[in-house]
Amino acid sequence: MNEGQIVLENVTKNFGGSVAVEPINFEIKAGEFLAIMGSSGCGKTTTLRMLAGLETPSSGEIRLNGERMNELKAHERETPLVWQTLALFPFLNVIENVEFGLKMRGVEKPERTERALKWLKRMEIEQFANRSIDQLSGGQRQRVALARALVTEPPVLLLDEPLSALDANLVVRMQSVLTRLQKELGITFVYVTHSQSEAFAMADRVVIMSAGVIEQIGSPREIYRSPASRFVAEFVGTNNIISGNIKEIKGNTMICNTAFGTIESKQEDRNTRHQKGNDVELVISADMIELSQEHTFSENEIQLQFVAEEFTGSVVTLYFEDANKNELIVQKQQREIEPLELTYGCQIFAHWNPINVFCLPDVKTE
Amino acid sequence: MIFSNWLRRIDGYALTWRLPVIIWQVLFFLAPLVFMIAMSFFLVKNYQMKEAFEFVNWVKIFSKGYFWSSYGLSFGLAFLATITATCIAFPASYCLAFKLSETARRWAIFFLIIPFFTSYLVRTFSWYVLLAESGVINNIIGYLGIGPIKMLNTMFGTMIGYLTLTLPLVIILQTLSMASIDKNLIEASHNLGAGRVRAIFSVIIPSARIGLIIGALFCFILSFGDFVSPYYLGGSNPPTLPILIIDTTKSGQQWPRAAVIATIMMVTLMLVALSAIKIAYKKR
Repeated sequence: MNEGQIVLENVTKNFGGSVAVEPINFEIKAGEFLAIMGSSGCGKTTTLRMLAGLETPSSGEIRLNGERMNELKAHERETPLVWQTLALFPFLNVIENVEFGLKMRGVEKPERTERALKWLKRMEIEQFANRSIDQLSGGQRQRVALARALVTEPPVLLLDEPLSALDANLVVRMQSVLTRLQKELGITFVYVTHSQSEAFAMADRVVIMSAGVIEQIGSPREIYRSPASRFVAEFVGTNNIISGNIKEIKGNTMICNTAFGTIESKQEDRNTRHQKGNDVELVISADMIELSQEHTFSENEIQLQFVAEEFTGSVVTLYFEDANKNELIVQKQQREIEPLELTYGCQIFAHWNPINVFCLPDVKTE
Repeated sequence: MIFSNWLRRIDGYALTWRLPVIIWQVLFFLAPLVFMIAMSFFLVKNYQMKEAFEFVNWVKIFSKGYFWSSYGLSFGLAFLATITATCIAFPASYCLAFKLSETARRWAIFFLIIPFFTSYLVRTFSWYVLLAESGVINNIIGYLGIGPIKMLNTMFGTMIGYLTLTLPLVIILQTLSMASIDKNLIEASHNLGAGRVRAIFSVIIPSARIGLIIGALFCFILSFGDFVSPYYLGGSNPPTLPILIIDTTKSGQQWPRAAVIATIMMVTLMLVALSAIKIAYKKR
């Protein structure tokens, strides 16, 4: 059997009466950068803590390299964790913090110091070796935490929102540090985050969790371009979710009646599962909608009124309404919309390619 | 000129609020202390104290062998009580801090405060019932064919008294300091390969260091100056320094010599407290 390095099989976790994690199943391949993403309370941190042995699964099995590890205590595992708070020991200096794991494994002092120094050098903080933790900046502490976790050369590194306390530009820098480190070491990273940008920027695969259930597993691109459920579509990116009813299916083209009129969807595999007359939810990503001042006479075109905008750096989120006050969200680069000369209340035409319209698999049949 | 500058800098509002405390401290702490030190240089003639400035009392006390053996005994007993209390309190505090729920911990601390509601003297005397030659404990072990064991009027008795006085306080201080340790640090040590025992020594003790040392310091201060336990449970023989002070004042009105002993005790406690605080708050 050729299974992944880490396997979770029907793993659940209850705290008292409340369920934190419903039965979940997934595999993590050796050398993979996997992100577990979800909003707070979705069970992502609990899942990570079960991998570290800090929580015991209520049922199910966790295997590492084919061996059951449910019963292994935290200190018997080789799954170091980087905490959200970093959890550096304030009573130890930088190098003593890094040496901690080696000391617990009975490595002699000279070797310990040598290996710890090697990691401090690698993280470019060797000049702070004898500093105390409270003399370091946020980014430097981050590096100490990474060095401390990696010094024992583990097969897996677990990270629990380690960048959430850093400011924005430092986050981007640490992201590249982390991805480069993961590529160089070739070990598995399991990274828990609520931030879509962190997960998508770094991970090979992303697991999306909500209320203790896995909503979707896939590459960032798959998840971004074809969300598997309404939850994912709302959670990831900015999507327009439009309810409709199937009017006609011709091959891989599906025509639906919606509040915006008929909308066409062209999808290779997904649309064949649906039947005429079904209620469906169509997803149009906000950045896949084109705008123009003039009629383009394309088939998928609607006339809208400009009602609001949200400016966040180079990307602008624009809010439009049709004559019946149905809202459509469009995301554009600032320089793209400048020629349109938008003013509040002005009329504009929006159109899109039907291959970028897809319907969610969870069909409302009843 | 300088004085008027200084006057102008005084904040009348702050001074008004602080004045009562300052007056209280000066009247009831500083003044008696100065008087005690001054008294240690006085002379006693015909059972009457005479104001003087002579070193004769200091020389007398320092040259007496019984003073030094008392000093050694007091220091040793207080030190032993400190070590014992710290070691007995630690497992109890560990359980209170980590094994109990928040509510249960609050109740436990409440129960630890209850002993302070009754007089220490009463609590000491209640040990009589248990420890006496015909007391409860000797009766019970008598049925088993052991004893009777002499527990009253021994150092064991003194130690029981010291612990009665100090143990609840030490447990409270240790529990509070351990309960406030960041749980992530303990988990991090497990995560990095430390079992339960190693986590205690490598994370919990260093993290709770201030509370542990302050608890021990209180134990030492209370035991070193305690008169009741060594007198009633320890049988006052050999005498500790507080008993020596009583004896000195009773025999021939030697208040100045008692003042010498008291001053030496104050200095000793001051040095112990300062070095304990220095160790507790030592920057790494």
